[in-house]
Amino acid sequence: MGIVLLVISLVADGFLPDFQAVIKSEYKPRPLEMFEHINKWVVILCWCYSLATGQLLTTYQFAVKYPAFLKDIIVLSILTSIGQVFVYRMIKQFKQHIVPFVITTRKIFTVVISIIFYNHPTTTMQILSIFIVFGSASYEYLSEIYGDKKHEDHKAIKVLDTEERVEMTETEDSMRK
Amino acid sequence: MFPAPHWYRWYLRLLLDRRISYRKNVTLKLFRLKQPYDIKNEVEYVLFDNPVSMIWAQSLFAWILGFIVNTFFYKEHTKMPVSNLIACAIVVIVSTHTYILAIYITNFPIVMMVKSCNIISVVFVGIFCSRVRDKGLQLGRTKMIVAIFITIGIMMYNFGGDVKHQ
Repeated sequence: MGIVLLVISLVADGFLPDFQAVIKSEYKPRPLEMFEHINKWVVILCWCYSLATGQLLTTYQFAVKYPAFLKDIIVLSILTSIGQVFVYRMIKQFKQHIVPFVITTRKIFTVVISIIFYNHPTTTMQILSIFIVFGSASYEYLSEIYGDKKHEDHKAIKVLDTEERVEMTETEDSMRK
Repeated sequence: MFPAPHWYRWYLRLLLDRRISYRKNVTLKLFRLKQPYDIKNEVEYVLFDNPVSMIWAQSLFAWILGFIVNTFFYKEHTKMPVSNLIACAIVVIVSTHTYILAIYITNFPIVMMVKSCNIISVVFVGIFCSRVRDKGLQLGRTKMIVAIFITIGIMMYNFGGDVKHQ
């Protein structure tokens, strides 16, 4: 059952950046606009579900009875929102697959720092796996950076070509006149 | 204690019964929600069993924050189709809800490991099922190899053995 839930979660995770990329490429919103509107619809849909199942009232009662829960959820909300602001900025600036790459790299960094600071015992295989992840992620970042540069250069050359062609046709026209 | 729909209570009972054996794996602050809330001087333990409320509570704060910034700091607003936004919202809800329920059922390291491998699903969807028309945003097939390497790396780390237990 747990594995099924995780698979569903993974599939949903796979589609989310693609949907966001569609919105980004077709409507070009600011990162915080997409952040606001998606969260708005999440809240609306969750409220509809909670109202239908009666969970809204039970949550309110729970929060009143156990104030520690309220503190936890507020702290969690603030931290999640701050994190999301950066995620949406990344979505705006890079391709859709960069966000999970960054998140994975961040997790591996945390693991490495934890190993170094707390002197956790690690096997050779685990060290090798860290190198594999870092190597793959570094390759991806570099290929994205240089790929984008090449793409921009290619675009610039194309623009120059079209400008030159316009100039040529203009001079030809003037010669004919 | 609090009334919830019959089917939902039954489902959560199923999940929470299994949760007890994994209590030792609760580590992060977030998963304090998974631990029982107790009242001092009373022997009463209550679990918060509404994952959807956790989703909307987080998103509500983000919505308010986004609304304030967009209303007071920007004059121009981009119109986006509601259908696309609802599609994104549904995917966010499904992803988060299943993630929270999975934490209830399985143990935290397994969930984190599988969630760390989400790069493979993102790249897979980006290559084979993408709806993005912009060629600059389309993913090449070589990304799949990188994603597979990262996934293998994460799996190797998790199943690579624990020195303490050797």
